[in-house]
Amino acid sequence: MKVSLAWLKQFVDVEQPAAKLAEILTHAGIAVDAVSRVTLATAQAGQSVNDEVLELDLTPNRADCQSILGVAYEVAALTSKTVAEPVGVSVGKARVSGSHLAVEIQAPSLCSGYLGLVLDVAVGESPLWLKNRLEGVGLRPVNNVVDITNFVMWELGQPLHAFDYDRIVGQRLIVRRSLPEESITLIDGTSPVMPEGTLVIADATHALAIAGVMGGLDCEVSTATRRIVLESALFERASIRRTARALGLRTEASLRFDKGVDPSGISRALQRAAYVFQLLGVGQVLGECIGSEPLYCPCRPIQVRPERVNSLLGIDLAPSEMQAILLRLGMPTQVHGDVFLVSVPSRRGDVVQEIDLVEEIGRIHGFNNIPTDIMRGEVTQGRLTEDQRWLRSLRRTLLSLNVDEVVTLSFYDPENGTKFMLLEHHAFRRAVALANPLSRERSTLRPTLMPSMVEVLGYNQARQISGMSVFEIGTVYLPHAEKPLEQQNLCLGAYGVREGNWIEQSRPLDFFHVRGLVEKLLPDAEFVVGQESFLHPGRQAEIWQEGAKIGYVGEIHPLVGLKERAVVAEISVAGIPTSLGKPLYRGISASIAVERDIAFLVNESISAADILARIREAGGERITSATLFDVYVGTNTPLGMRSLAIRLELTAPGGASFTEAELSAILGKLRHVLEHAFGAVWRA
Amino acid sequence: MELIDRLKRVTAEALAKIEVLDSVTALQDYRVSLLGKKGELTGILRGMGTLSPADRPSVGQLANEVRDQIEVALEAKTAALAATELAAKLKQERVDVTLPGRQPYHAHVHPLNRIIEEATEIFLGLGFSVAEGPEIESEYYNFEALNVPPLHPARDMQDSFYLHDGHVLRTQTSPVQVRTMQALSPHYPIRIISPGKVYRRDDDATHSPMFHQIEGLVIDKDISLAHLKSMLLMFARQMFGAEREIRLRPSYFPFTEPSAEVDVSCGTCGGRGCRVCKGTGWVEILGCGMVHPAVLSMSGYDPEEVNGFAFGMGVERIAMLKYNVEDLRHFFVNDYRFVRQF
Repeated sequence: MKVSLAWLKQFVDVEQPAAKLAEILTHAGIAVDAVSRVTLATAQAGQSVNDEVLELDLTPNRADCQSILGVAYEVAALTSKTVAEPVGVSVGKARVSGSHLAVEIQAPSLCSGYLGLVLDVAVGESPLWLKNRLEGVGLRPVNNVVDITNFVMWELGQPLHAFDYDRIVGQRLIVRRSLPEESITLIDGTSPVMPEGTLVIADATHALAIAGVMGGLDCEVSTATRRIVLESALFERASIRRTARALGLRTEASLRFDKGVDPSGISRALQRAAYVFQLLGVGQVLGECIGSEPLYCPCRPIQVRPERVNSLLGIDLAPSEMQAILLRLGMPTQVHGDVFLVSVPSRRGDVVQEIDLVEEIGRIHGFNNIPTDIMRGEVTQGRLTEDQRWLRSLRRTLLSLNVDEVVTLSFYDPENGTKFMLLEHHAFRRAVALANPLSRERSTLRPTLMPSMVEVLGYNQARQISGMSVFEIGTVYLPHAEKPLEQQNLCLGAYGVREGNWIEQSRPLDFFHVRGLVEKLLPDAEFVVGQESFLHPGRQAEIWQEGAKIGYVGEIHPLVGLKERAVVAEISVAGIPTSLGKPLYRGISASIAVERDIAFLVNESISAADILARIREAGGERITSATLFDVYVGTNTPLGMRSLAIRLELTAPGGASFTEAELSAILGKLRHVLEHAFGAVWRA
Repeated sequence: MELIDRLKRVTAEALAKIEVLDSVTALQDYRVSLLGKKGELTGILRGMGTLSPADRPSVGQLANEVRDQIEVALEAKTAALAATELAAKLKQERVDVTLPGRQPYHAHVHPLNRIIEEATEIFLGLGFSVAEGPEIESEYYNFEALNVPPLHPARDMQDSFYLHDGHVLRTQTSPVQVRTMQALSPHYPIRIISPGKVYRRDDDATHSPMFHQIEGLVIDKDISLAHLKSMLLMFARQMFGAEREIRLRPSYFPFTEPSAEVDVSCGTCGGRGCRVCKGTGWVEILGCGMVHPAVLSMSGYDPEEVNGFAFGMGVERIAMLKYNVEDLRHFFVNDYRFVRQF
């Protein structure tokens, strides 16, 4: 909403410069986004005048400030001035029909008041002062009739519409709902089919205007127009909103009806318009105002307790000061003991209960005049729940493993099914759909974090980033009978290398890097060869924990189309043991461990996990660690075999040390077990 | 006496030899050749058995003196040589300290989670707990229970994401406040914050269809706007710096009344006015207000008995202000060049 300072000054005395006024309004909740200077033409060629325009960013509750007059009331309240009401011409009390016009409201639930006034007019160009008024607030002058309707709307907040009277069949206006498939050609030249039930203004034959939104071409005021009907009405807010949205027509009129107009203002707007027509000498009222006024309460009485005002705001204002503030807002009070009875004018449709008046008093008193006061009361324990602390420790563990954190959007592209070559019934094809998405790419909610991760990796590959290792903990959304389930997943992603320098080699961020991270989180997990179609068939594993599959890790399939190899793992957070990050102290052995390396050839098909498990089993408590430190396949390994080298850490119980003979016995037994179980061929 | 002469000669030779030996190893070898089991001096001393008992004391004494003399000379020379050799070794081991070190990698916390963590710490310290709730909400929790009238633009399909079953993606984390109040009523006090993801149907340079919020709620007896103001001042000073000030401007939210937007004094210019604050000296950081009586009633509290305040902030906005991030989209693209700056 743009407010011209010169126009405002017609109604209220403004002593402050525009910038100061903007500050005063902003601090009262009427946010002024910008103050700009406009230059307007004068009658004398080459000369101009300046005006200043305040751009208001109104909150939805302040419909009353969608007019110069409404802002004038606000300025008057804030600066202790009085408002000079705009001049009008009396047009007499409304009647349902007269000699020139009849009005029939067939849809009273959508139109609580409708007035029509017939005028003889001389259509032409508006005088300079009127054009300046409109141009100053960003409206384009059209002709004097349209300009006067816009002028009055801007000034009083009541939208007006002018019909070419002689083109109304039967001179009877009908306010009705539109019929199925009914269309109308509008003044902007378009001919939309209206949603059934759209409120229209029609004559006996067809719709002449979409009520409160835009007029039709048939009855548009033109240079040929001799007589007009001026419409001033009160349409139901939701109906106007729906129509404007459905047809994509957000006009100044529809915006005002949508937010709500003052029910007392509809006849005043006609009186004001008639006055301007007379003033310009371009219109003469014919007959009287036709139609019916809305029923409304001119001033609602609301109770307010001064003590409650003080206790809610944390101030100590005398009741008389509150009364003075309310009076400045045009809200006189009557005192009944400890209670005020406040009369609220109809233009303030947002003030309906005590709390609204608490806000009004606080607003005018000034929020910056409210002190700060430290909260008292019962002491509360600020703390995180077990689950929250655990999730925090999971994040911290990942960070301590030097994995960077990313955050991506929850949306999901249904085309991911194709992109990732998912089988028809794959869970990642079952995504919760949005009813009103912004685009196809973001039309569902993700059942997996993987595609977002792949996107992040691909984005950085395309920017020549040499490598990254990242994680995201986020929600996935799984279709479910009553309401989709929300589950926390952890996704790891990596590609490329962590670059070294002159002294250190680059470290690959490959499958085994990511697998290593998973092992840190899930020391007891089992990795079983996997078969996801979006992963490399030979470089992927399912992750099993306590008999349940809780995720996967694997290299992204080359057909997915990433520039470089990348690895992704995804794990259900619920599957990660809550013992993570919680120390479990077992004491330290008094014995000093000894290390022995063993190496043997074994068939390639035998998994390293099985061999290591067997070693641990065979070694019992004496083998305290078994680390695979070399896997070798080369010219001196027989076909189908690979060489494994394992470093054993042996610890004697109870602070003792092993003798060489004991060590030989342990290793000999181990050799026997491995030869027997896996056909291992001993090398060392 | 021949033995005495031999002792004196060997000693003289030994002292001369020790003088010229030039490594710790050579000295050790020489020591063995002289004083070892098969050493020359040892051999001579072994010959003492043939002496007459009368001569033994005087020769024995001399022999001890000679051996001590040689030992002392050996030790002194060894020590001198060890020092020289160590000095040489240390000199040889010199590295170019101007070369860069091994580069330990440290992980980067995403800036949005960094802000959430920091805010959480602040409010935990003020006695708040953290409450969480679903992102897919019913219209009841997201709108109705928050006093959002059916006509409010937020309830329109234009502004909020809906599922086909009528659920809505929460447009703010306030439904968590309602859930908490309903779970705890009629008990108080309540002091919670609820951080999380929220969704609005906007996508342009300054709006992301998903973003993060932290909201707070206090329900207690005799809570006032002055309490809210002091709580937010504490928060702003911990988050942005001890010298910051705040100001409240009246505003409108359906679930609070009175409602306010909160500005913090601009950290770039210290309040004098600059590009960041568009010359005003203030930047908007959050919205807040006194919990609307209708919201209290719907959640099972008597607005005549208790009241409260609520506030909510956009995490992206706080992060942009705190770290001078110029483009909202950086947060969700995760360009590594962005990620590694946090």
